Amino acid sequence: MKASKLNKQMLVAPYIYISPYFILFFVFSLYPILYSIYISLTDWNGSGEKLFIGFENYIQLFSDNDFWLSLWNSTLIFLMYVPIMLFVGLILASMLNSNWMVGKGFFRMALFVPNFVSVVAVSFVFILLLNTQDGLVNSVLRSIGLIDNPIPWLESPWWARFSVAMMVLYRWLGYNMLLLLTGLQNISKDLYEAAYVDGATKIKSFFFITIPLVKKMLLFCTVLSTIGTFSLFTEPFILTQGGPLNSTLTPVLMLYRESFQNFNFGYASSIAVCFFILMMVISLLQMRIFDDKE
Amino acid sequence: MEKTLKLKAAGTSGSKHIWSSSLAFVLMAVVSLFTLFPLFWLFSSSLKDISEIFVNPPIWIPSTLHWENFRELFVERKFGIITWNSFLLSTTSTLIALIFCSLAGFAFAKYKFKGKQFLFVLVLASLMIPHEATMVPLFSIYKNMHLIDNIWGVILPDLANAFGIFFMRQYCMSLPDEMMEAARIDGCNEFKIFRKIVLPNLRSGFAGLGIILFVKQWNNFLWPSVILRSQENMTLSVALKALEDSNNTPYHLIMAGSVISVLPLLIIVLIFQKQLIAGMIDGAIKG
Amino acid sequence: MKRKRILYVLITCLLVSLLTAACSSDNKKADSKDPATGNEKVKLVVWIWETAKDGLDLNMDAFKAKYPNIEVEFQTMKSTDLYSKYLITSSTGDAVPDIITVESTNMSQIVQIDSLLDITDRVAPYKDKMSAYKWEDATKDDKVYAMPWDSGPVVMFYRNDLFAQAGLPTDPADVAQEIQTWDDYYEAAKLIKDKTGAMMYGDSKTNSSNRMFESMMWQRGLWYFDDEGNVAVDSPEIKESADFLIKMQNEGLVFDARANTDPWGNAIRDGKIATVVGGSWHDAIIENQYSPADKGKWSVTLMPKWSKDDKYTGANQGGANLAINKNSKHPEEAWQFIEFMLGSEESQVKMMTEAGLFPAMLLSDNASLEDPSEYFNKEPIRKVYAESLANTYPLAYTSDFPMANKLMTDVWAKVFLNKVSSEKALKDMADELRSKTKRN
Repeated sequence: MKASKLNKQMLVAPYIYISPYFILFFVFSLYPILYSIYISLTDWNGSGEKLFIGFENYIQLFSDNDFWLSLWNSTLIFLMYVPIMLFVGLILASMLNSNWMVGKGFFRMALFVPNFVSVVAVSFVFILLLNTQDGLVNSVLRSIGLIDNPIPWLESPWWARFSVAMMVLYRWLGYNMLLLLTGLQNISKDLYEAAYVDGATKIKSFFFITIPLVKKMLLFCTVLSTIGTFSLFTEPFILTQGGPLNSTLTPVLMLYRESFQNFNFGYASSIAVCFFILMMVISLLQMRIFDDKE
Repeated sequence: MEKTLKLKAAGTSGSKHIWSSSLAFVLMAVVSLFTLFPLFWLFSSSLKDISEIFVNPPIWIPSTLHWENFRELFVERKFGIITWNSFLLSTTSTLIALIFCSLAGFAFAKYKFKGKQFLFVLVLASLMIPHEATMVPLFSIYKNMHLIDNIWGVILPDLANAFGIFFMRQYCMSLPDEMMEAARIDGCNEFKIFRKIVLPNLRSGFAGLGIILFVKQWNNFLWPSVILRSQENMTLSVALKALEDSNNTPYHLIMAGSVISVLPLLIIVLIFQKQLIAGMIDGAIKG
Repeated sequence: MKRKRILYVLITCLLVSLLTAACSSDNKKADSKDPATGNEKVKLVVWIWETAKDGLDLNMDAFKAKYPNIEVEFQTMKSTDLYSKYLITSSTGDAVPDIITVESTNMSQIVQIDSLLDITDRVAPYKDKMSAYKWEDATKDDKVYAMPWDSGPVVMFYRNDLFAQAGLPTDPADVAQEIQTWDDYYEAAKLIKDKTGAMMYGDSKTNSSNRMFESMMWQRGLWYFDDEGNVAVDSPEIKESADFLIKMQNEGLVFDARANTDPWGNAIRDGKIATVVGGSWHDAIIENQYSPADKGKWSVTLMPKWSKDDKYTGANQGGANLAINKNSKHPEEAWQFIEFMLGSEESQVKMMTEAGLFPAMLLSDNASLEDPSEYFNKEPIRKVYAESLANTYPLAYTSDFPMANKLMTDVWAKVFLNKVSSEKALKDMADELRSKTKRN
């Protein structure tokens, strides 16, 4: 009697345990994304009638220069910060991994702090720092004589992209360094010892031992950064509003603009669907790469 | 779970070594300076008068500290209730998510049931749906559910957290099966097993995941800024952006508001830094 | 041990927060169900931006005395945020806010979404008391949806000390005589740059607000759209005006900062900018905000015009209106508030003299216009505003103005950054505007 009751419980319990997740998932994720696909086939301003127009939104989207520009901008921003971030991150990580470094705890925290500080707050600080006429960065550069004319950090397309990239770098350097540090800690110290005995310099061991052994971790960081860069929103939204000339427009910013500023919900949904597909492809790629690790 | 940084000394020394290690130290210090400087500027600007924000030459530390910036925020701009909202939102959402994630993580780790494989793949697959892509339909769903301008509207979608389930599943898998078997023989029902045996053993998992979720929710911006509209319901991130004005943005107040948003988190993270860092790394790598 | 304690703290927090969340949502429900009966306190929520609120604050004591049962809560925000938030409000049918402040620039756009209360009958007595052009943007299908507040007659504020150093006249009447046309303005700009190093005005190359350009169009009766509603930005006249401003920029006569931002204001404070051709509301901004130390250095005169024979000399810049949310629970009280603030000459004059909001209301008693301004060289500056307003072309912003304004900003950026010709940039803009607004 008792045993069978317990058995029954054992059969039912897992379903009850996972039900909150699945209910929420269906209501707030799955249903919306399917609904999104439907909306993307309509012309809808958010409150009136939905007018079914087939693939017209997609046709318009694929011929919309701003959409391609938003993808291009993300790619450029990615190229501007990811190589620096991984390279510097790896150097810093190997320093923290060495036994002779002092103040490890402090440095680790100091590098990591920007990652959890509110993006909105940091963006506003960057606005103050990067103001063309009266910002701190330009006034310091001018007073030490590096530049004569102020640099339009947020007011010319290339500088604006660069500024956004630097802010992303600022926020994510520490995080990636910590990931790389974990990778380094799995490398046996004996390898370095052996190399040292063989007369390899520190720089040589960095390039010939460290980099190959954390290759997987570097790849992993790159994938994470790809997802992060294409989903950028807050930084360009506050720093540049996507400007000048849409040079810092990102897919999510465009989605936000079309939906909650211009109220083209149908068109915005077609962006959302494309964004979803893009993210899915990257995630699948990530799973492929790291499958054997599990 | 936590990795110690202490490693056996490699035992190399000499002048060359001292030279290179001090170079490394300097490099490290310079990078830290860059990461900490904006925070210094944030704190310093929060105590300036508006006329001292954009000046040339720059004012590093204001000669009179304008604490009234904070007073204005709390007295005139409702930052008391706004800070409370942020706190309420982050704790509520974190704690409920922890319960849901540990329940589901436990189920996936320790039970055999029909469709388990498929359902777990579904959980993994749900990681691929970016929240941004569901904003438009969610918004129209919210209209009917009266969740617009309601902090529950921010909390609910974040409770379905696939990452959290994955995270907690890892912790649950390390629990020995014998413990549960013994409890069952003693006549414990399933929920009691979860409460009495599983929960107490998941504490470090809770701390790690909890701090991650808390930080994420505290800084959440896009979705809250879409649905939270009245000042009584805003969170700090949203309220900071709302301080902007068309003609003269009160940057001194924005900086003071940013301090209010940054400081509590800084303190919490300094206390829980081990859990946060370990959790983030575990989460990223295993998730 | 330590972890256990942390867990308990977290759980306590959860309970406390759940309880308060439950309580607070109950409170809100109770609030909104309050019937608005005569004796009970009614709370009006007004969405507004800071400078406009400063104006209303001047009359709040009098309002409270007359309507003790109405409590007013101001929620301040950036005007562009205000509009996009209100668009969301309208799509959800919320009852809050009761009243919104809308610049004339965005009035027509907001009217089009059918979420404002029709106040045609209520404003009827004021129809002839306000500047006629203000009604047009607030009207759709002969129904009026907003009450005009202030106008922004465009005038030229100038630094008389810099003018004197450059050998130019300083008396307002003489300056108006010397700088009659934009060409005169350009010549003066070169002189001032030469003699004092100061720039003529401030405007951003890549992020312009287009205010200067729009004033130049307005005074000639030109706009992004013509009288039939067709796109007109590729017309030769508009290119002429644009080319003039491009010449000013290219010859380094312009301080590169978006108007009405902090760097722009700092340049004014530091005497790097010699003129501000802008709406009358700039007087309060210059006097109180950016240049309080320069009392007596600023004067006001009419803005230059395109050619000497042009009939109109003035233009309008901005100016606000108050409107009621269609779903407001307290439309009667909301109208009482609006009428008290904007319908009475007394409160309008107070906002004009103390907050620099030049009323859209045509004042019956002109004495207050003659008042000299201490800061502006003891000149009767409001007489200049009135003259400008009387000579302003009656033009409406139209509903697609916000989009056109945004695209225009990109035109300058293309010209200055990508070295595109003004003709091509304006043509591209016209094409984009046509396809986006489905106009001709």
